[in-house]
Amino acid sequence: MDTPNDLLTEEKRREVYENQDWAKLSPDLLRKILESLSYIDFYRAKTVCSDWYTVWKTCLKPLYPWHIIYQDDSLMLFDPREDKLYTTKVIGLSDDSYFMASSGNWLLIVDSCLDFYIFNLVTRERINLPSMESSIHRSKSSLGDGHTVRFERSDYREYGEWGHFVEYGHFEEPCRKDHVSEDIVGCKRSAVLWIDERTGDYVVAWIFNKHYLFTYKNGDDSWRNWNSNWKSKRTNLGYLDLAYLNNKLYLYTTNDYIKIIDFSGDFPKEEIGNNPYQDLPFHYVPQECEDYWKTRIAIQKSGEVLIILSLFEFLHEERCLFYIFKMNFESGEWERVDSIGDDEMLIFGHGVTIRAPVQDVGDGIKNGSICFVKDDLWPGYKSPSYCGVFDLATSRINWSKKFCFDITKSQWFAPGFA
Amino acid sequence: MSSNMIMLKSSDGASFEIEEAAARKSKIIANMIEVECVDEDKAIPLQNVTGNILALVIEYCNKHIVDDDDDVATEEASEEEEEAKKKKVDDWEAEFMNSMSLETMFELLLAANYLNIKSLIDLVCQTIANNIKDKTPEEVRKIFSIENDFTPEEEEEIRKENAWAFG
Repeated sequence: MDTPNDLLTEEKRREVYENQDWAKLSPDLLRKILESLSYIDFYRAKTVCSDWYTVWKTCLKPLYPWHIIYQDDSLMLFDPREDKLYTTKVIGLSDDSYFMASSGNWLLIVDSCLDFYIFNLVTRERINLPSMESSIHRSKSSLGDGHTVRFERSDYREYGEWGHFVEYGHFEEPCRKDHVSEDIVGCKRSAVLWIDERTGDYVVAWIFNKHYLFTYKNGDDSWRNWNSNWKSKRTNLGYLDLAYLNNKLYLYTTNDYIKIIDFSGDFPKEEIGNNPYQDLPFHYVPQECEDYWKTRIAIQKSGEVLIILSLFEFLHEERCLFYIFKMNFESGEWERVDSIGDDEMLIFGHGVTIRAPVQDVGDGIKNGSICFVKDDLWPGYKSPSYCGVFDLATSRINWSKKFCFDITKSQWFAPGFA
Repeated sequence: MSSNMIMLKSSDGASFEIEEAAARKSKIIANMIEVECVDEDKAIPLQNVTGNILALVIEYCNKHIVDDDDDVATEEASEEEEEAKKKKVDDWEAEFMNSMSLETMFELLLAANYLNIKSLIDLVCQTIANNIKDKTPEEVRKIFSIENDFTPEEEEEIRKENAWAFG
């Protein structure tokens, strides 16, 4: 039986509870709590009540890099902070999916039928891109006077052959035919996706065989090809990497220039006069005890271009390094920098810097860190490509945890909004 | 003791003596000290904080002022020592928050916000967030006694925005 004392306590407890209206917690404090949630919990929290939903919409979305891992050929997503694996079945993708690039909650995916599409991780919406089997015409530009090209699917996909790439000469005769396989999404991959999640506008671009550049902007009838007409090796201008920000596609060419294509108008066109990097090629002479391996570019939120090199140093001990260079417009030189700002970090090959997580998410991920995979450091090494994090300030590498099963390769991507 | 002591008074009339250095963890109290509106003989009245919560705030400040002193003394400390020290603080904070009820956390959060102690706000917010970990929206409502004020249609609409967070 309740004693009067118990009743009082109960009443007092209820009073406390009523004063504690969690739904009415000040927006600033509630925002802070919501922003401390993990990715999945964060997306769930908005359905709690209307006040939470209102505050939720003003939150900085949780942003920390995830891994994409492949066990044999099947893709999975791994949330390192929650230590959780998501299979294609849970995500809503087919088993035959290969990751090329990401932007916000959208992934650019290709399958072995050479179908390209973008897929929203949160809503499962899928948008198919035009077929690359129909002829892709050249784009009028100074970048090349090219031929017509197209891809052909293979009938022997079970043997790892996805298809062929065919270039047609002046008399519509095939003049070049290349084998196409999973390699287009491997470590040679250079693709970029940009999407405005509010308006649904998007741009996709990818480089094939370091030479051909394909772009597609929503609303266009077909892909555009920016470079064709394969010449003998020496004169063949190609592309090593690309990045996209604020309506501009940045290209790093094989002769070490930065080219810019402006996508703001009805037709994309190369910027000549407005390209601040026009006559400023990047040039790095490796030290005696250095080998550099890959060059990537990334655009900072300020719009400045960063050039990132992966290197191998064998001075006292062998070690892997990343160098970052930035243009000093006063001297006209690319200068090495040892910091990229207080709140930015990089995924090697992602094309734009990403906001560094505010809270500790483990694996050494923080401002000034570079997420990379083993393939970015050891050329042609045939073992599984694990994820690692390089700290620009200390030059230390933090390898991510190994899985209890064999993985064939892994990549990084940053889900959420930039 | 070399440092100055100051007095804090809770809304329910309890007085607490605290080192000035520890009290300065609160931006509000630090400001009061700066503009010299602190009378050495008089306690600073804190209208929005009850005694039991103020005791927790002071416990937190005292612990962290010691840590800050350590930082100055051993600036050249090795990385291992740094890590060990960080772990010690983390362990202490985990222990500090561990047995605390949600009601207390709520009050502590309001107090930390009122007194403007950023690191304590961060700690409490993260702990509350950990309480929501892996919970469905329904469970979250139950934990925090929040009423679902969406119509089923509205709720469905918002759910649709993110299909696989429920998968």
